[in-house]
Amino acid sequence: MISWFRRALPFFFLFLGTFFLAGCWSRHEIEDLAIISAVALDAAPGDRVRLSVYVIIPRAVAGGPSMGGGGGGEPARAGEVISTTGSDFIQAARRLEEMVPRRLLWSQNRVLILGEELAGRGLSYLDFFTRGRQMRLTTPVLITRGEGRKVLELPPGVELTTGTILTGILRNRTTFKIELKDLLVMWEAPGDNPVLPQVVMTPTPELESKEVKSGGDTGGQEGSQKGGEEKKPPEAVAIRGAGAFRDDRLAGWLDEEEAKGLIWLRGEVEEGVITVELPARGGDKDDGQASVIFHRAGTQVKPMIEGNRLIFNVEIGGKCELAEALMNLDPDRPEDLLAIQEAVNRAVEERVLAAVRKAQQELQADIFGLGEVLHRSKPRYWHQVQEHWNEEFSRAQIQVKINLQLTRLGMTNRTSGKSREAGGKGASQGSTR
Amino acid sequence: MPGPYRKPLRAAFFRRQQPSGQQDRKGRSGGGKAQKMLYPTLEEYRLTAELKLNLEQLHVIFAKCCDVVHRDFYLGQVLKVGIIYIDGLADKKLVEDTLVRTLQQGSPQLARELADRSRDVTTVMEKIMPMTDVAVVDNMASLVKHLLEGDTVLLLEGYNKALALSTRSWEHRAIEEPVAESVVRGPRESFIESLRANTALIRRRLKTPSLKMETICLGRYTMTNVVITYLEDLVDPMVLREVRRRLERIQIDGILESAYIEELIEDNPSSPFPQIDHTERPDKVVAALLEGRVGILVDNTPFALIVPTLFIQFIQSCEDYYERYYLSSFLRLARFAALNIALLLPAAYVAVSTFHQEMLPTNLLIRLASQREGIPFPAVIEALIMELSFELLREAGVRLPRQVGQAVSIVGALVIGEAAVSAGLVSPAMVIVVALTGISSFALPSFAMAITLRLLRFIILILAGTLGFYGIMLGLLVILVHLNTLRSFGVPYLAPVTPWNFSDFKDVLVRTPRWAMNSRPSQIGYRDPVRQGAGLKPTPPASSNPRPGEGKS
Repeated sequence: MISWFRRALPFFFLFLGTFFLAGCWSRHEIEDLAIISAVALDAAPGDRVRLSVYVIIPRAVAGGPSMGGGGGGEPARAGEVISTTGSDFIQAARRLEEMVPRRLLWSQNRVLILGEELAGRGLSYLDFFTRGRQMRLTTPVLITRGEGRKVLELPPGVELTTGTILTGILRNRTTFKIELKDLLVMWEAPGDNPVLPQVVMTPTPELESKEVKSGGDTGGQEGSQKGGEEKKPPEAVAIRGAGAFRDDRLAGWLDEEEAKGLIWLRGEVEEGVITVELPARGGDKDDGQASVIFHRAGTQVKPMIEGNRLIFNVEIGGKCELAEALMNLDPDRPEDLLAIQEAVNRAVEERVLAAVRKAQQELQADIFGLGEVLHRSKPRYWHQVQEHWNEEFSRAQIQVKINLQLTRLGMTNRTSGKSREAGGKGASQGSTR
Repeated sequence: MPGPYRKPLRAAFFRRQQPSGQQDRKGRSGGGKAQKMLYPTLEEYRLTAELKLNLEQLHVIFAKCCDVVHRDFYLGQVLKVGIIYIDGLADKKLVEDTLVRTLQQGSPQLARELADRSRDVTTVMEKIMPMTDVAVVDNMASLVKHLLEGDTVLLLEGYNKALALSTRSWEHRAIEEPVAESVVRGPRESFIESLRANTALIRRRLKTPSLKMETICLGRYTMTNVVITYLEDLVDPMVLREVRRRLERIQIDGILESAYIEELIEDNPSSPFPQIDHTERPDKVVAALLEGRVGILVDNTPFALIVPTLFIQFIQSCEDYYERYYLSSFLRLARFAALNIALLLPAAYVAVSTFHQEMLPTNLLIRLASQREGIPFPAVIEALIMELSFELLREAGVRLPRQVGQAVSIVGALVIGEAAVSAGLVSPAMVIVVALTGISSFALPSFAMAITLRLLRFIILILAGTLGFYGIMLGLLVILVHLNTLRSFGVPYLAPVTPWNFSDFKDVLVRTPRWAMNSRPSQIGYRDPVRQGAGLKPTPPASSNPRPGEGKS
C-alpha cells in the first residue's frame, strides 16, 4: 500500500503541474463576451488615434429573425459602434474596456477598415492587430475615404452587421481582397507596395429607393422610415476602387477602372464581367454593346532588360463567354465574334494601362509587385535597383498583351428579335463588374 | 503465426498471475480450517451396505427439507430399494410412471440375484433401468450433489453404492427473443436460465466433436455449474489454461449472474472498461468460438461471457454480419462517431463556449451567446445539471414498470426539454447537446461500454469546464494510455490498433464482405488463421470468365 502510494506520488504532482503550468486558464462564459465584428481605425486630432469597434448585441441578432419571422418589423440594429481615442490602439482598447460591461472578443473580427487620415500617417499602427493573441491575420483589410467609423455606422441591410455585409461583398469577388497577412507581405516586400480595396459609402439613388418603397418589403419600410425621419437618402456601402500606398503611407487613390487594371496586372483576377461597345456594322443601325464573362484568366509577367531599359512584358490570357449581347449577332459570321473579342481585349488593355499610368506617373509606387517578379527572375539586376526601386519602376516600360478568347456563346446563339435597337441604352461605360 | 509481440506479452501476463497454491477444484470443500467450520462437509457421512442406515443419514442431512421426497419399495417384489428425489427438480411423472413401475415389475430372478450379492449394482442399469443417464455413486457427498441437481437417487439394500438417475426437469422460461440485443435480421433465439438448454443452443449450431464443454462447479452454496466452451482446434491453449485457472481460483459462496465471475476473472479489476464481453445470443457466442475465443456459460443466467475481448467488439453488433456490408460498414462508422459523441460532445461544447470562442463561426457564436443570455449558471454547471437529470430520467425509466416508465419519460421530456428552457434555466443548445449525447450513448450496441462512457463523460466534462480543450486532451490521453495497458486474458485490448495489424482491420471500422474475411483475428485465432478458402467472391460462371490459378486452402 505504502509503496504503491509512493510510486503514485510523483505522477500525482506531475499531473497537478499540468493544471497550473499550462497556458489557457481563462474561462469566459459566452454571454459575458462583447463580440467585435468590425473594427475601424482612424486618426484623431493631436497625434492620437481613434479605435471604433462594432460590437454585436446577440439578443438583437438572434431575436430579430426568429421573433419578427416575416411580420416585417424593422430589423433591429444588431450591434453598437463604440469608439475611443488614445495615443495608440492598445490604450484605446483599454478605454474601450472601461466602457463596455463585457470582455472584448477580438477573434471574431470580420473586417478591418482603415481611415484615410490614419493611412496617411502610416501602417505601423497595425502592430496591435498583428501582435495580439486574439487577432487573426486572415482579417480582410479595407480602406475608406474619410473616417472608417462612418462605415461601421451603416444601417443594416440584407445582413445585420457591417462586418457581414463587407465580407459578403468581398466574397463576390468583384474586386480584390487583401487580408492582414497579405498586407504585411506587401508592406514588407521591397519590390511591392500595399494596395487596399476601397470601401465607399454611396447614397442610394433616388430612383432605386422609390422602387424599393413601392416594393414594400422589409428593406423598403426601413428605407422609407429613415427617409421620413432624417430626410436623408439611405446609405449603402460598396467596395470599389483602391487606396494605394507608397511604402507604408497612403499615396493616392485608384478609381474603379484603375483598380480593375491593378488586379489584372497583379494576376488576382479569375473571373468577372466586361462590357464593351461595338461600332455599328452591316445589319445594325446603331452601335452595339456586348458583355462577356471571363474565367480562368491568368497573368504572366516577364521582365526584360534591353540596354539600359527595364521592360515588363505582361501577358494576360483567359477564356470568355458571351453573357449579354445588345446587338445583332450572327454566330455564323466569325467577324462578329472576333470583333467582340478584340473589343474586350482592348478594354482590358486600356484598364491595365490606366493603372500603370497612375502608378508610374502619379503615385510613383510599384503597387503591382513587379519588383518581386524582377527579384525572382533577375536577382542580380534587382540588387542593383533595390534601393531606389520605386523610381526605377516609374521609368520602366510596361508592355501589355491581352489574349482573351471568346469561346462560348451561352445558351442561345442568336440575339432575340431580328432587328434590335440596342446601342442607346447602356450609356457609355464599359465597366467590368 | 504468433507475432513478435506475443512472447513478452505472455511473460508479463504470467508474472501477474501468482500461483495460488494447491486449492481444491470444488469450492464446496473449502480451503482453510475456518471455512470448514463455516461450511460443514459431508465427508463424515458414509454410504453403507445397510439401506436403513443410509436413509437415516439422508434424513439427517435433509432434515427440515420439505421438498425432499423419499419412497421405499421392492425391486421385483424381492429387493428393498429406496428412491429419493427433490420435488420440483426431478421429473415426478417420469419417476412415478416409468421408474417405479419398471423396477417393481422387474424380474424376481434378478432381484434375488441382487439380494444374494452375486450380481453387481450395474446389473440394474444393464437389465431393467428404463433410463440412459445413470451414474453409480459411491459416497454420500456426490449422492447429495446429484440429488440437489435434480437427479433421483436409487439406494439398494445390501449395496454401498447408489444409482443416480438423471430425471432433471424443472420449470424454466421458454427460449425467447433476445431482449438486450435484438436484431432485424438474424436468429431470434436467446439464452435462458437453464444451462443445459444453453449448451444445446450452442451445440445445435456447432455439430462437431471439436466443440468442448468443460464443467466447473462454483459457489459453496449455489453450486453453480459453469461451462467453459471452446473449439478445441482453434482455441489458444494458453488462454484456455488461463480461463480454467482463473475460474478454479474462485472461492465464493454463491454465483447468481455471470457478472460475479466476470469481476473475479478480469485482468484489470480497477479499470472502468469492460474487459469481458457478455451476450445473450447463442449465435454471437458461436461466432466468437469460431474465431478461437472461449465462451463461459453460467447456470441460472441467460448471459454468457466471451473471452478474450477486444475494445472493438463493443462497437460491433451481430447484425453487422447479417446485413449487407455497405450498410454494416456505415453503421460501424456511425457507431464509432456515436462513441466519440457520447464521450466528448458535452465537454467539447463547454470547452468551446467558455474557452475557445474563436473556434466558432461568428453566426453560431452569436446564436449561442443570445441563447445563453440570462442563463444563471456557467456552462459547465448547466451541462452537469442537464446530464445528471438525463441520467436520473433514464434510470427511472429503466427501473420502473413499463407502464409507469412511459409516464416518467413524458414528464422528463417536458420538464427537461421544454420547461427548463422556457424558464430560462437552461439554454436550448444545451438541451440539444444533451439529447444528442443521450441518443449516441444508446446507439452503442454494448450496454457495458455505454455505461463506462457515461461515467467518463462526467470526468471529461469537468476537465473541459476547468481547462478547456487542454483538459479534454489530458483526459483523452489518460484514457488512451489506460486502454493501452489493458489486456483481456493476455490479448492487448486495443488490438488490432496497438499492436498494429492491418489485416485485422477487415472487421474493425468497416465490415468487409464475407468472401474477404479469410482469416481469423491474428491475436486470437492464430492457431488456425485460415478461416475459409480464398477466391470465394462470387463471379460469373467459369466458362465465360475463367479464373486462373486460384489456390484453395
